Amino acid sequence: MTAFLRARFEWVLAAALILVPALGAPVWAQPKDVVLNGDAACMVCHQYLEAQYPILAIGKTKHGTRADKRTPTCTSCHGESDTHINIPQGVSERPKPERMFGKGSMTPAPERDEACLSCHKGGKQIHWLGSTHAARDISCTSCHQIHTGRDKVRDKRTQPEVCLGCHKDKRTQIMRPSRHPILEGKVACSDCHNPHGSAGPTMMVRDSVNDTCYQCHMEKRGPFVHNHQPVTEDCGICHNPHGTINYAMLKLRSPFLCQQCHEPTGHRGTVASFATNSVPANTVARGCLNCHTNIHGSNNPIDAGNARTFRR
Amino acid sequence: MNIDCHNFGRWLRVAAAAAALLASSALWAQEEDPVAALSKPESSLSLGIGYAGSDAPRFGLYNGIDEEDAYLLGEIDYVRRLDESGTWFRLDGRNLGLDSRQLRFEHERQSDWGYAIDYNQIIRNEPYTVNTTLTGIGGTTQTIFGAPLREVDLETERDILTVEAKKYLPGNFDFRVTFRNEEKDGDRIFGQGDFGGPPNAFFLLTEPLDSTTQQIDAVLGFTGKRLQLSAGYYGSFFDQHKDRIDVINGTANTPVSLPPGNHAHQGYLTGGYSFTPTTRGTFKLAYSSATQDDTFIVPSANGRTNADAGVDTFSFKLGLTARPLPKLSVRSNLRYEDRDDRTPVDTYITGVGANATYDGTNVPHSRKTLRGNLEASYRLPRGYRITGGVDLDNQERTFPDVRSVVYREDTDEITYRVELQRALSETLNGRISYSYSERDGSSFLPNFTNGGSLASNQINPLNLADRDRNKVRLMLDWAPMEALSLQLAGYYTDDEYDGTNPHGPDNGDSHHLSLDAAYAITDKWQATAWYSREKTEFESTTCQAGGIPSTCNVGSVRKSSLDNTTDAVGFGLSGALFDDIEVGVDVSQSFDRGEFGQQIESGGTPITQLPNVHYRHTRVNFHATYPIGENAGIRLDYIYDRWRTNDWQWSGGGFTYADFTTVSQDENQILNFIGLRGYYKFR
Repeated sequence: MTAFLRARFEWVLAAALILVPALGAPVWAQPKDVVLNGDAACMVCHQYLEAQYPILAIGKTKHGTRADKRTPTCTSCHGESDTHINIPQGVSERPKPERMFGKGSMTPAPERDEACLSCHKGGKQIHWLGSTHAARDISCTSCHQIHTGRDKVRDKRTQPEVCLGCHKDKRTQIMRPSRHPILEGKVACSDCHNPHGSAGPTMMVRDSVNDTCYQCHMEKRGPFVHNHQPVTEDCGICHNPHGTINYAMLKLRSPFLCQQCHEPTGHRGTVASFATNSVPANTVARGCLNCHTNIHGSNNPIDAGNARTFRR
Repeated sequence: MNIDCHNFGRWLRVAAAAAALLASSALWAQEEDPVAALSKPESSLSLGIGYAGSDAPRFGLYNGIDEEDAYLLGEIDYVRRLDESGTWFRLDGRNLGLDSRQLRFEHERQSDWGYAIDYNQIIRNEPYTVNTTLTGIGGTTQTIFGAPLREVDLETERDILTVEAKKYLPGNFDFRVTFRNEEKDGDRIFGQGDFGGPPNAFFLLTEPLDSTTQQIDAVLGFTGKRLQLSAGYYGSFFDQHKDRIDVINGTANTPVSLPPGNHAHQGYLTGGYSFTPTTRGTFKLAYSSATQDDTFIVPSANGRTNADAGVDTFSFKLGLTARPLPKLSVRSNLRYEDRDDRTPVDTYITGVGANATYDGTNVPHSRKTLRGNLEASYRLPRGYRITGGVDLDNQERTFPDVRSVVYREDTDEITYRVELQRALSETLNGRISYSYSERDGSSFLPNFTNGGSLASNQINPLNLADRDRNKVRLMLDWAPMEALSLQLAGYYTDDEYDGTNPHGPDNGDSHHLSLDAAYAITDKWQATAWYSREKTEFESTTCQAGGIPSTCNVGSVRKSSLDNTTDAVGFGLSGALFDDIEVGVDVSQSFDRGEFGQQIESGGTPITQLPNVHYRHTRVNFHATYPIGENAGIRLDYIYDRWRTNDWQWSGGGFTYADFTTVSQDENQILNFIGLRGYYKFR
């Protein structure tokens, strides 16, 4: 029998080449794409290396939507990586792919970002190049996880973990008693900041600090009949939106905060105290706001002098 | 959703049954391709019950768990993708049994169209207990002494409905629109007072919140290989449904106005163009027009029925980044904003005397802002990079002729900075930077009275004063071994204020230091630990009883030293017990201290110091997940939360409002919360 097969080797080979694909997918068949379009060459190894290099979860993401022909394949981001696929002669350890993104990657940040920006360069990413993050070599994958079904930074509940990894001063501030509901996942860093860069200062999502705050606090916008100048200029003059130990996230308590601008004539220079009679009650309860109740501005047009000091 | 404690047993049985049902469903799960299991979108559902062992206003400030009670815990994350068409369905529900629930539905055909509907409830439970005689809470007529003292609960709630839609168009265009409607209701602490009236004439009111805020953002985008553009319209509309409070038995300052409605429309065009692979320009042009013409709550002396107020704002931003040499990159940005408050100036207050520091007219505030920066960065050998830059900030303000606060027409700030960074090392990365800023501007404009006399001019206002700022920032990321990583971050800032007037802010400094460590004990166990310290110190001077024009009586100059210190520490441990029980514990404690020193200079009467304020917050989060089968299991959560404080803000010196209203908080709040839920995962 063996001699028969050996004598007719070419016929056996031809039959195998025809029959094998028709009968199914034996292990030595041409590899097929597994998770991404065009990932076959990589998946020859990587579908069996999940424990060491967990990558398959990319299939759970929009990158893994194969019906969308815009989606990338492995080499779109990691480069052709010929030497990684075919180890050059004389090299004992398999070279890494051309572009690496994880911790300890030696691929420069701009080169890493090119992989993402080849598609994600419009919309909210328009101002990426020129942003402080890009200028400081913070790359897309410093914040985003690509090979996971749940990208932490895109979830309001887990996003602060990512941002606070670098902005550690904010980690202590958001734990203070007067704060936004960041710990509860109801307000996220990206509600106020666009980490991809923006036209506003400190990467604000709107064009100014105030316009950003007005998204949720629009009643402060006015303009009023009686305006309070710093209110119109920058909410951050009086408030620290990341958290303080003072009511309403004020940077300083009353009357100290008010006395940084207001002349000390009359009652304005009065010492901070617990005295509750008449003028000195500038410290407890709402402090100066006990009387100047509409401190962000008043639209009361009444013909009375104290209307202009936000008292009605 | 709060559950009556008397029915807790019944709810517990229901939850246990639900958990058991979800968990046992694992038994029905079918074997599936392991690659598909790891690469196909996964859904999850969890249902259970939690119990808070005590009232905890601080813990429940925003999450809805503020009272001793049982709570339904329900979450759903349903994700389905039709692989043939690339169509996604997603239903994401969170905190479904709590007053902080959110539910979002998305339907999208990737690269073609999509829409989403999102409902989000944000609450704020007032952490203070209000004991008051006030009646009419929630309404526009409020009566002090309207009832005997009794406890009232104050809370605010935002119900936000957001609808989003997008469509990809031929030619690399896309269109996106987002509409957001927010209904805000509830009551928050408000008040009125009259120091010219009888002693202690301060009254607590509550601000009745009843408003609708709507925002619409429609954007037409183009994404080409080199050119990207977005042209959009942003409309934002605030409508007030309660515009006044009439106060009975309060001060003479009634009615009290509430914020008027206002509307704004903005059109903008933003984009970027890549001249070469390493040179890119970006821009944004925007014009907005805002109006506020709500009818006045009382007649105006000038006969106006509304302020006819409006602000027009034109802004642009230009940016350029380039890499003229392989190792050299440059970046520059220029931002300009012209805010023109075009509200008509009219006389609202008549009969103003010569000594008044106002003239009776309204004061619109217009401002032009120009900000820019130029930065160059050069790569050095061995992974080092050095960066130098200059930032400019110029603001030009309008000012009233008669004023009570010192003005400055222009402020100019220039910042020089340099940074050394080391990156691209597998073990040690970091950066250190130093910056120096100098803010000055045009002459301080002295205050004049309505009669033209020089008024008090003693303060250099905080946002206008001359200021020199030095800042050093450091960050180090070190991985001494494969399993251990350490991170050190910190900054130090020193501010020195000055101006032509004798008083106001003097100096301030702040520093922050954080040390983080992460250690992989084994393949299954990880530990983290961190410590942070932040301190701000601020000194200012004012006058006990100011004189005119710029003098302060001997023995009246008062210096304030305001310090705030936070020490926070955290520890985390997570891993697996017996191979399949995942456990994790996170412990954190933060300690905040506020100090309020006041000192009279030159031998004046000594000042009784305010007590320091402290807040100590301890949190322990423990969770354990026990799988039953491959796709289901039970999760146990335990939270210990403790707040301790001595904050005197509302009760210092035994303060009560004139009607004996008190605002207080439990100074030692301890919460034990336990939650048990079953979960089921499916594809």
